[in-house]
Amino acid sequence: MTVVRLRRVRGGIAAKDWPRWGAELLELLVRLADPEVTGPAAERIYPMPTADLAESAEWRRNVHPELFSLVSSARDIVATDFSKSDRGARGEIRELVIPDAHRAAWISALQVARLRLASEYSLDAGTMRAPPDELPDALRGPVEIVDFYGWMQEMLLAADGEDADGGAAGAGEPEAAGDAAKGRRRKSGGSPAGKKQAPKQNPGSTSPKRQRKPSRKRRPGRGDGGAADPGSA
Amino acid sequence: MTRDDAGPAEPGGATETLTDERTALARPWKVIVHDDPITLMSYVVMVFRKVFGYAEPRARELMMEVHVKGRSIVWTGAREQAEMYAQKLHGHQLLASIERDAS
Repeated sequence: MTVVRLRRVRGGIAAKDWPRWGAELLELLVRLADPEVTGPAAERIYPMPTADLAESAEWRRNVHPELFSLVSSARDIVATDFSKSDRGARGEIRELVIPDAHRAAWISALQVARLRLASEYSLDAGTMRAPPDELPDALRGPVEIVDFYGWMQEMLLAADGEDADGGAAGAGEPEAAGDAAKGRRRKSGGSPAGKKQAPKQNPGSTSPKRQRKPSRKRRPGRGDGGAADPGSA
Repeated sequence: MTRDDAGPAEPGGATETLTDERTALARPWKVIVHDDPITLMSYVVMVFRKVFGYAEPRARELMMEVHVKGRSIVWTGAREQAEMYAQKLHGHQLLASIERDAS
């Protein structure tokens, strides 16, 4: 079993020794976080606040360019951080550092990527809750990737909480990013925080396919009870 | 358009019309966040804290309302501010809408 983890380092969060599939998922993230989207994904990522046609036209004209700019900026930051990662000969990530100042951009890009996949594959609440064995083959890969990006979001959000609470972030000895959420995971019987057995994907495609049986039980955000655990809202 | 000091009512029901308009203008606007099955609960709480400055318990309470009821009125007030908040929520990719309070 291959496990990836995010760890707290000085000044940021680091992905260390991620295998090639981890790097591929981050490459995919950069593509999925592109602000240029069409169809259902565009409606979801650039929504309207009202059904009024005239007001919607005004919103599209005045607000959407700003939203586009925000999405674009987050994607660019993620792409730059990723391009600076230390890569191995086989495509693996030896080290990728997400600086604290870039964490919000990563969280945002992950959100866009998750919503885009969900829109393009029509992932609904039932799909997201379904046991993997009950999912159609075509949806397993996208669902796992949505979950993987959700795990990354959760880790980065937990690191945000550390900062907000004056915790370990940015000070003292390096500490695992996931430690902030470790207690929650243990309560719900989930996996140790900070680690993730990632899904496989179809390299180079935005239509990823799972290549082996998923490990839903290890995935944060599924079936975890309690308000502190991830889930849909 | 106000006619608070307009004196006697004009023929043809003008006073009633103007009163209705005044009432409509006074009605606040609601910012509503809608449920979606993808967005993490912790992400929604973070956004509510960031956009509205809500304390953690309040942000979590509203998030749970979205989760359980499918939507939550997260802010009420003047239209311009409601639009600004909706824009900020959209900037975090939350499904937000605005509507005038019906009451």
